[in-house]
Amino acid sequence: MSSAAYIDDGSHSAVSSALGFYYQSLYGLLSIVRASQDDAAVCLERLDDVEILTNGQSLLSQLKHSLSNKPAAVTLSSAALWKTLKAWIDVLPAVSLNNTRFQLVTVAPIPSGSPLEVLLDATSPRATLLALLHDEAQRVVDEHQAGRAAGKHPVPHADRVASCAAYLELDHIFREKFLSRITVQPAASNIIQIPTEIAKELKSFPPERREAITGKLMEWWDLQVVYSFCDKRDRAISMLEVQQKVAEIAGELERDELLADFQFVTPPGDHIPSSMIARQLQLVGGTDGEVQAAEREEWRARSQRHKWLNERVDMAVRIHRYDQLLAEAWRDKHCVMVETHANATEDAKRVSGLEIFRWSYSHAHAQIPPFAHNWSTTYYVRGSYQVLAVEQEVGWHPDYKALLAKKP
Amino acid sequence: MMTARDVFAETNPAFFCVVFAQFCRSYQQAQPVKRPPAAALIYLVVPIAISEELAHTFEGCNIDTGLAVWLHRSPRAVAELAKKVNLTLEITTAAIRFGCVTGTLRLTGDGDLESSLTKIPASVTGGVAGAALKRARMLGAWAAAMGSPRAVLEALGVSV
Repeated sequence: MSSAAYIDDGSHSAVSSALGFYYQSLYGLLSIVRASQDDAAVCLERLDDVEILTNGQSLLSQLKHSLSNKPAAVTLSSAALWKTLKAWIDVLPAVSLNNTRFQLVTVAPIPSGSPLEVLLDATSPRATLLALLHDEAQRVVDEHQAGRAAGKHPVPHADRVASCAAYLELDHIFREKFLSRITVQPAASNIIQIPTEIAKELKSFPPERREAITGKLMEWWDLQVVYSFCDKRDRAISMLEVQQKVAEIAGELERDELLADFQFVTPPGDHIPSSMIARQLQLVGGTDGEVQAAEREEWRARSQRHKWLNERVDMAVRIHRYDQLLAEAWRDKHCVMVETHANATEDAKRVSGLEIFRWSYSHAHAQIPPFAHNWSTTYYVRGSYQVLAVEQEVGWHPDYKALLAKKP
Repeated sequence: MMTARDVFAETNPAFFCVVFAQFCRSYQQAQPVKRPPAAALIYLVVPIAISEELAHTFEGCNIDTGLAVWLHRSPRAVAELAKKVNLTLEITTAAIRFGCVTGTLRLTGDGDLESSLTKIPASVTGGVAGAALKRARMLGAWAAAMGSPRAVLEALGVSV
C-alpha cells in the first residue's frame, strides 16, 4: 500500500468523481472493441456519458459506477434510475427516437424478480413496467406535494421528484415508445475489472500479449479522449482508428520495437533535478528556459532507461552502447571546439559551448542513428545527453571539467 | 568510458550477486546429493528471474511447480532467451566475480558455483528485491529437479 493510502481523503475528495469519469472513458473503449460493425464510433460526454454510433443509430449509455463490494441494487424507486430517465428525457428534443436507444450500465445488480428485469432484453414486453413506473412517478410527486403542503422537512423524494414529474409530463404513447428503446446492463465490470474485459476482446492476439496491448491501447485512448474534448481531433473516436492502433501496438510488441513511454509525460511536481544540469549550462550562458527544458528531457530519458532496464536487464548493454555512440558524436564536435578555442576569449568559449549544447538538444536526434528502428521521438537523445552531462561524461564549455572542479 | 550511473545502479553486481546466491542455495538444497549448480546455469538468472518482463509467468507458481510445467504454461518465456543470455553475459560475469571476491560465492574445482550466504537479511528479502529473490529461489529448485545442467539448458533452448 502506498503512503498516499494513509492520507485522509477528507470531505473534499473528488476520487469517486474522477473514477466515474475514467470509467466512462474505459467503458467507451470497451464498447468500441466489442462493436461488431466496422463503422462504429464512440463519443464521450456529448448527448450522454457514452454515445455509441453505429450504422446511423445511436446508443446513449448512462453509467453508474461504484467500487463497493455490494453496490445498492437498482429498483423502481432508485434515485439512480430516475436521474437516468431524466437525463434521457432532457436530450429527447435533440435526438430521433427511432434512431436512438438508451442503456443504463451499472455495476449494481437488479434483484431477481424485479419488474425491471424486462429491461435486460430489448424485445421483452414492457406494459407492466410502464404502469409500475407511472404509479411510482405519481406516488413520488403526490407524496412530495403533500409533504410540502404539510411543511415537512426534509420534503419527501426531493432527489427524484423533478425526474418523476418530467416522466409524467411525457405523452403516454411517447412514453411507451421511449421505454421500448431502453435497456439495462446490470452487474457490469467496475473500473478495476474493465481492462481485463478489454483484453478478453482482443481475441486475434495470443493471450499473453493481450494485457500488454491493452495497457498501451488505454494510454493512447486516454490521449484521444482528451484531444476530443479540446477539439484537437474529431469528437467521435472510430472503431477503425482503434483497430489500426491495436495492429500498430501489436506489431511494435511483436517486432520487439521500443515504445516511447514518456513522450507525453512531465516530471512530477516534487522532482528535484540534478544541479549539474544547470551548472553545466550556466558555464556557457544557457537561458533559464534551456535549463528547464534540459531538466525535463533528462527526467524523461532517465525514466525511460529505468523502465527498459527494469523490464529487461539485457537492455543495459544496448543503453550503454548507445551512450557510447552519443558520447562519440559529442566528442567529435567538442574536441574540435577545444582545439580551435585554445587561445580564445572566455566569451567566445561560452558562445561555442552553447552551440554544442543547442546541437545536442535540437539537431543530434536527427543526425545520430535512432536508438531503435521505429524510434522517432526526440527526448531520449536530448535527455541522455543530460544524463551524461550530469556525470560529466560530456559537457558544453571547452574547459567544463576544470571549471566544474572548482567549488560552485 | 564508464557505464552511466543509472545503468550501473540497475545492474549493480552486489544486488545480482545476492540473487545468484539465493539461486545457488535453493538449487543445492533441492539437489539430491546437495551439489551446487554449474556456473553455466547462473547465466539464466538475470534474463529469467531478475528481469521483470517474465515476472507475471511466475504468478501462481511455487517451488513444486517445476520447470516443465512453468514452460508449458508460459512457452513464450524462452523466446529470444539465448539472445538475452548473450546480452547479459558481461553483467552476470561481473556479478559472479564480485561475489567470489567478496566471498559471497565460491567457484568449486568442478566448475560449480556455491553460495556462502547462509541468511539474507529480512530488509533485503522484504524490499524491492524480494520478488526477484523469490523467482530465483523457485528457478533454483526447478533447475535442480531437472537432473542435470544440460537438461535445464536444453529445456530452455539454450543448450551449449
